[in-house]
Amino acid sequence: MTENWMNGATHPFKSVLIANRGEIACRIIKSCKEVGLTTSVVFASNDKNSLFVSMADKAVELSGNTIAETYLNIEAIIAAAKSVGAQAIHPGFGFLSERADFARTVVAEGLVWIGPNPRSISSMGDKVTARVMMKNVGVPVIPGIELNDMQTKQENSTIFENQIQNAADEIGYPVLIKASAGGGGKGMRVVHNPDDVISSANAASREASNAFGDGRIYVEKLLEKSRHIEIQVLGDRYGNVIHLCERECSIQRRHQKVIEEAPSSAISPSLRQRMGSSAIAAAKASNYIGAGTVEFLVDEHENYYFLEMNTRIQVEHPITEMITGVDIVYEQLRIAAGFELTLKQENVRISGHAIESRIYAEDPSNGFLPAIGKLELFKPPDGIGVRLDSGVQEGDMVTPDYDPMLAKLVVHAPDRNAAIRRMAFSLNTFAILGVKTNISFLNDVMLSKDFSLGLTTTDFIDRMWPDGWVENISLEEKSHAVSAVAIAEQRGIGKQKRSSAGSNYVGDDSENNNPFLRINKTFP
Amino acid sequence: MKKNYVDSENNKWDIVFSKLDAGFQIDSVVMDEVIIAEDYCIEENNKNSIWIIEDGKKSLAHFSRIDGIWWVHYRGKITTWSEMSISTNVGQIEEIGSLTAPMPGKILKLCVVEGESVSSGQELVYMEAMKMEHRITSPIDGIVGNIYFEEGQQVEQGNLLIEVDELEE
Repeated sequence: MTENWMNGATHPFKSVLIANRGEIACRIIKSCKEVGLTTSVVFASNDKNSLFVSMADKAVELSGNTIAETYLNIEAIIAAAKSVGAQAIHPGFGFLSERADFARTVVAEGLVWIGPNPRSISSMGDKVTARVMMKNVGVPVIPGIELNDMQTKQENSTIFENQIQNAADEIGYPVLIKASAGGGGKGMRVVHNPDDVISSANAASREASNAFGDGRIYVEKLLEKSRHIEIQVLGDRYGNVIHLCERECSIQRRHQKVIEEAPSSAISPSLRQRMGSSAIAAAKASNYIGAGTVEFLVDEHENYYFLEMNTRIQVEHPITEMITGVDIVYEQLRIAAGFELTLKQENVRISGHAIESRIYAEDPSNGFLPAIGKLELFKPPDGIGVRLDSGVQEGDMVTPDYDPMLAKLVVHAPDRNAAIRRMAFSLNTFAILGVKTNISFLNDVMLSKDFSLGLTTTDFIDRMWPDGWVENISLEEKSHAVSAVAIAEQRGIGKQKRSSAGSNYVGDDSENNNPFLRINKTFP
Repeated sequence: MKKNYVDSENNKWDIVFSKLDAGFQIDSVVMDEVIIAEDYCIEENNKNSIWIIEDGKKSLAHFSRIDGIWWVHYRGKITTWSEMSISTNVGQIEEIGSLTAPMPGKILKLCVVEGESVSSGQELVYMEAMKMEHRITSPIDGIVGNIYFEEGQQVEQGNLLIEVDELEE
């Protein structure tokens, strides 16, 4: 089927187990199959009929009803890998992808780990450690103060409170109090008023303790009107590191990205070069191997500040693939097998413009509340420059058990305006019936003047829709739609269905019922 | 030919149409007695979609009838439509004793409280939808279990409203 590209590898493998599910598992399976590798997955019983399970060459069911018993169960996943003869493990994103202990176990069990070394994961996973490391190699960090002796909090709360108050006063308001072990918006507080510092710090620390078992916090300047810009890097086992330019991910709701684009409309070639060099320095500082992303905030004056490094493949990696032509998953496989990077920095070129929209099962007119139901009809767009990375197919049930992201719609066009037009048209023709989605909302973002002007800062959604987004359907559109129903009924067409379609996920506010808390980690 | 439907905001729509050699002519679409659109054509495409042709331009409308509600995707937007004739008992679907809202609407009145004994046919919930009042009745003799909504609350079609547990012998 394929030439023996694995010949000469220092860490060869023929079979990969993907320790993940949904869209990213499907995405990884495709690249593995393309290059002749055997694929296997693990799955929980409620994923029995999921697309990724049917796509994989082999699938092992993990017993148990919780994520801890299944997708986070290191022992069971290793046992599954051995039972199917997998020689390498790809963790995808979320779940165990940034768990150094998992990486360590995989290697200790004699399997190839498709990811960075465990030490890179743990040093970048701890925000204070990462900040200090970045400062040491000259990568700019957000003005702020690491409170390294936060351990004293337990013994002496007065010292803690004085420290944090002084730090916030010194930085200047507004400040952001963040958990060192943080992520997904937890353990994070914005403070505008000096009087609120101590109560916010205590709350953030408590929240971080509960969520991560680590109450250490730090203070940094809150950068308003900033953009979220990240640099994709690739490093091999021999110390070579290159970057594949930036992605802009400023359009966010609930601290989660919904629309990403590459390149950014705000990054000049010289700024790209400087940020690229910083990203490479960041990766080199942690001896980084594999695909990773260095995230920055960029202010109005082209200053950029290190935010964090994600030591895994990222949700929005396809836009980088579209503009550079590099298959990032294939590069991960090659690097893990021990090959040197063949791509040189000077040969990385940006071609055109790419945009990704994350299609979520949710109700954007009701606080983006997750929606559930059956995908009675699922007709994605296609055509030139249109790519769909999906984890679902028509007939699937959308349940509150996992992240509500259904698919990623990616377009590529010669320039930004053409890409916006292509995305708007693709969203417009993407028909999903039976479950509420955010497609119409995404389309309104595409059609907005601010987006077309590139006025994309992280406050975009709040700025555009301060009172929440409301869908606007003209009476003419409604009249056409209802006439379609009349004719469909007259002709006896249109499926007759009985299902629990179209309902919002209604539950109380307890942690067990909050779908956002069902997954261990949201995917930034 | 004429058909009528109700949208999710309880507006009443009337469609008058006629058969052409290929497809249909929409003569008029009227919402609450106001003409919204008239004189355009519809061509069949396949079992889930049809073409709507206006001013020489075609747009595809996808549809699916789910639990008695029509979902339509047209020009990037989803609308839902109910047929006018809804019997008072359409709330009884799937599991006996779990009563879901037959359509989007408002809970007017709860006639029972949790734990109350009810008999088959007894009125449980009054709903207002499609500008009409609907009474949801108990399908069985039993005890009222969980009640998921309060009076005055808006509910979506398919939302679980109330449970009636079967009496044990």
